[in-house]
Amino acid sequence: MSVTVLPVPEQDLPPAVDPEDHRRLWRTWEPYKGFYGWITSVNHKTVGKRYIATCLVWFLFGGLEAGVMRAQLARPESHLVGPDKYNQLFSMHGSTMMFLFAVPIMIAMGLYLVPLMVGARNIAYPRLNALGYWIFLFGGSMFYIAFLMNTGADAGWFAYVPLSGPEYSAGKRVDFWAQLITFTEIAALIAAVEIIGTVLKTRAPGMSLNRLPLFVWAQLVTAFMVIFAMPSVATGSLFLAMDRLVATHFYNPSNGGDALLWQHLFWFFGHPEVYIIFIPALGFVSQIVTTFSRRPIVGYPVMVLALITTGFIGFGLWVHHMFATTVPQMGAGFFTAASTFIAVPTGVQIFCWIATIWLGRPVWRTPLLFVGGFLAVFVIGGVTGVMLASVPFDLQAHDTYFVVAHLHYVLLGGGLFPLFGAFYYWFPKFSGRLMSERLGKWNFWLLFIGVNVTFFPMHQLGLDGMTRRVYTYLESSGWGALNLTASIGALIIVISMAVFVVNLWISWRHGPLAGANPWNADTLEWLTSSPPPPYNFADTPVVISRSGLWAYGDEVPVVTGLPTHIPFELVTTVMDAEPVLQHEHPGPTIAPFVMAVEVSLMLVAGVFTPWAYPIGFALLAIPWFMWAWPRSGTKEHAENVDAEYSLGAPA
Amino acid sequence: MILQEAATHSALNPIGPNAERVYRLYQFFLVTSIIVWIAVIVGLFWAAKRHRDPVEADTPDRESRAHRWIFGLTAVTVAVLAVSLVYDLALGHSLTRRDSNVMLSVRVIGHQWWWEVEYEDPIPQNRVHTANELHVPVGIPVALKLESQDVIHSFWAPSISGKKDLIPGHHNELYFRADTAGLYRVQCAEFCGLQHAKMAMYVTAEPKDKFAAWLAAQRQPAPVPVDTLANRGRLVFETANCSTCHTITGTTARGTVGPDLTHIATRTSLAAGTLSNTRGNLAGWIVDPQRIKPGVIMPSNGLEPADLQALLAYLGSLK
Amino acid sequence: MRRVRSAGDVASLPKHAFGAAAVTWWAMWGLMLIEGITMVLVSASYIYIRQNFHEWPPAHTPLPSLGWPIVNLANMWLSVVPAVWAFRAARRHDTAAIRTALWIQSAMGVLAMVLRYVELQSLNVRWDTNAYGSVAWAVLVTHGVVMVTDVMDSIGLALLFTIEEPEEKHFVDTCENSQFWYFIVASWTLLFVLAYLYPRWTS
Repeated sequence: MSVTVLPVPEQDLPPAVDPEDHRRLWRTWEPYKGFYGWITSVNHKTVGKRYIATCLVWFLFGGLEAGVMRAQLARPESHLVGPDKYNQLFSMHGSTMMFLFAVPIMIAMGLYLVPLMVGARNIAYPRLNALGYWIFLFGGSMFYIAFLMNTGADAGWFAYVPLSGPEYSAGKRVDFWAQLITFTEIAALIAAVEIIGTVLKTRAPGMSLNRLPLFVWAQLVTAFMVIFAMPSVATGSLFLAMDRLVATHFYNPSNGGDALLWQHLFWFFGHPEVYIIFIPALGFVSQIVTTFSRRPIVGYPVMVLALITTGFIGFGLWVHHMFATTVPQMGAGFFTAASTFIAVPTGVQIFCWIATIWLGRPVWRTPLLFVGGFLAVFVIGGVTGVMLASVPFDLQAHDTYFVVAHLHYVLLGGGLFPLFGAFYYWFPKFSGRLMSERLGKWNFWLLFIGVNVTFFPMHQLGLDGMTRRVYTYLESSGWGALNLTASIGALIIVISMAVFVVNLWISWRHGPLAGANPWNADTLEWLTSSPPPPYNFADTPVVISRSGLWAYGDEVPVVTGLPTHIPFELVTTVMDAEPVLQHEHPGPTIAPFVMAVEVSLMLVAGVFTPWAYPIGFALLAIPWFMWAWPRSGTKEHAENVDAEYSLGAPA
Repeated sequence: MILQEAATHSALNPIGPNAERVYRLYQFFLVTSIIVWIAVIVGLFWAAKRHRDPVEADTPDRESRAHRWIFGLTAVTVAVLAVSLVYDLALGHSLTRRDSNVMLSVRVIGHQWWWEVEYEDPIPQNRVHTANELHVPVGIPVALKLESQDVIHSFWAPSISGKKDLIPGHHNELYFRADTAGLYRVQCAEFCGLQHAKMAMYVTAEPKDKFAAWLAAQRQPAPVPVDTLANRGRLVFETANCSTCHTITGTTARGTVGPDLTHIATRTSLAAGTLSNTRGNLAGWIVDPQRIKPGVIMPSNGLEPADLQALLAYLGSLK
Repeated sequence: MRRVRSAGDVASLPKHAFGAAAVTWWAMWGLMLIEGITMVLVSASYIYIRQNFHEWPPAHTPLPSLGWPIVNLANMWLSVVPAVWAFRAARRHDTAAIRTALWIQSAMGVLAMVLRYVELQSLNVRWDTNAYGSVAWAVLVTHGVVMVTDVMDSIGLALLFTIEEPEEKHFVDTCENSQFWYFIVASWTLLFVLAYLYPRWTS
């Protein structure tokens, strides 16, 4: 555990008033070695990187599923896969992309970046953070192991009852799906609490709320949305699981239950979920536009207001998924109006970005290119979204390929393009190396072309009568040519992703060294080295302007005095970020891992027997006490180190 | 094997007032959308490529100009959205109103994976039961009462009207009018299990007198077979598995699991819009429905060839 | 490379704080928010399902009994006393008082859990009888799960104050544990009205 030689050259580390601090801090914050160190780490950067990598693996799986579906649909009356396999494929694809990729990766980017961007040494609740990751990993693994055993979800990613109920979905497929929801929702709620605690309490001194980088604002709004939205799907899926496991009647119409209750509970989560994906992406775009336009964003207060407004209106749209179930006129009018006017805050942000580019001196590196792609693709999804807000039009387009086109334009345009921009932008911070620009441009153009070739024809297919979730179609439908086009587009997307993986692989090992701030960006994460040391900052920087690093001259003002021999970080006030407290952090511990294993076993067993829950809750006491009980030795160790330091012993 | 019926099935090819007016709304949206998209892209390119002086500095004046643009464009956005909202709500209001002239009311009940159809009539004997087909008179407003026996389905005939869900425990209504005679395809639009893809049917819109004749014919019980082969077929139907699930009025077959087959020979399609109604297709369907619609509730039937021929002759006579 | 300059020294700042200054206080509020929203959603489902019935409880389903549920409600209200006591004692670092208060609070918590089981019987309907039974059980179980976690926390703290020498942060934990218990008692008061009294008004 002791560091006498720093693992990186000192000049690569963030500036410190006392350079010796690096040696002490490194010794204090360093994880254990080997496998034990791997499962006990509670550092937000380690957890964040794992989270991102795990999401990318699920993304790959979800993409492969889409590939098989496009192969099946390339020709009418194709027999490549039968209806049973096809239903599993699209259910797995949708569930994977929403629950295991899009939402968690946006949050995972926050878990890595937010503490750095607010100048903190770690995330607010490091052990809880590790717990969230392990739960997420175990949940996704369970879902895919079930799929490999031909028990993959097959009732669609929104699993409408009664089709997903006990009577029409025998076997355990839907149970594993419902349990996946429980896993991912625990993970997402934990992450949301992390972000809120970190942003509100551990900002660098001087970073008052009106100086918060827009990405951090976006993450904060998202975290609150997660807290309000996730309990709804949790409640809904628990009802579903109980209907299937212990014969309750929440959704059983013959015993007073209601099939539409599920739709309300699901979409009260499901629509905000789109914004949970989209708002962090808006944050990426704002940071990238600022950096590559070489000037502060235009209309910062309006941007913040737009994010918050989007968060609020996002909860007033859910019924537009249910127009075909018959919604009373008054209600429908309200939901149509909300669904229409949510375009306004996004429009305002688009105008602000374009104005920023106009006023600035844009440098068209790969991240900014992806922002351009975002605008071109997302706006198409946005305008079709306004169309779908209309009840009469929705009744035609609902549940057809028009909606498939719309949702992919929104999620790929509004989520994936900014996310890829963000990868290229922050990869140097994650790895210390820049990604290849040449491969990046190939990656971008192939994705841009592929997405449009795949999804644009689907608008036409939908209006021509092709409904979604069909495993095949008749030759006489006349949909063959457009489906073939879409399938070719899917192939182009696959090639684009292959280019990305190659770029990632090569750049991780051989990319040019980035240095602390390769883009000359303004936010705090670029003040520290790339990749940052385990403690992020030796001395906490003081923020003097909204423009962060751009406002510093040659000198960075910092606060000193935090203990270096135990993990400590600075706590500041909610509004003005004035220092109020020194907060001790836990060191590496196996407790989160043990608790995640225990919870996962309980949830997996809960697929088969209700007794899993009382027994599982009782056994929870074990990891709970491991977690909370003061570890004997911690205090002694701290006292020893104190003594050591007071003697001035370490070299 | 494959259904070749050329039926109109597109929201872009409307033949009734509902679909027609939604089509016009769509055209309005489409034009507006194209303008908006082009404006954003042109704005982006202009912002990126505008001429820049080498030493140009940010002045408060330029920044406030940007603010004015943002404010103005936001106002334009709100105005455009407000206009479409008003258009759209007004249309929605008129479309969901029940037409006071509704003269024909039909119950449509969803099953995995077929449609049960009942023409309502105050006199019970005059009610007509059929399946996987809907005949409507041209120019007459029709009300469909949508119900489901199992899972959620959705009735969608894009050329005629928007869709409505069939939800167990709920009663939905759909009003429409078909103004042009023809054959229109209906597709189940809400995912309903293994054979959701092959849950379709046809709407035949026909002149009033032709419709009246059809309805009168449907009210009759099944014709009694005249030749011996068909007679034997009827016996096969009543004694083999068929009658457990299917009804043919006028016979002992009273099953309710599958479609009513009383006038099956008059229908356009078999297996809920999957096959055209030919003797060969019917034979293939009876012998091995699982090959055509894997997972369908109807089992395969190992009939003797002679029995099968008789059955086909009988079913073919059910006009 | 930029140079750094010390703009202030924070070594003199306190290392622990009660209330909103502490980082953990915000996690507790986050948790309460999540659980509170869940309870609101279960209650909304209760009202939603109620609309599918003409009578409530549905025909042939008896009303819930009130006896034991009222006993437990009284127990939970009384348990606020040791919770407040623990809170105040923690603020003034009175270890002995905290120990006693926490043990009483834990005992009343365990009693509440036992009575929750009796309360389920007092609903006079099984979860699988009809949708009314399902959703009424859901209300009680949802709250019960949250209650179990806090009782576990109280027992853990009580043990800690009995066996170990407490650290400064455990006084903060005790305060937060008490505040969480207030939330549990307050939310139960509302859910009690929904599950036990509301059927009496509408039937």
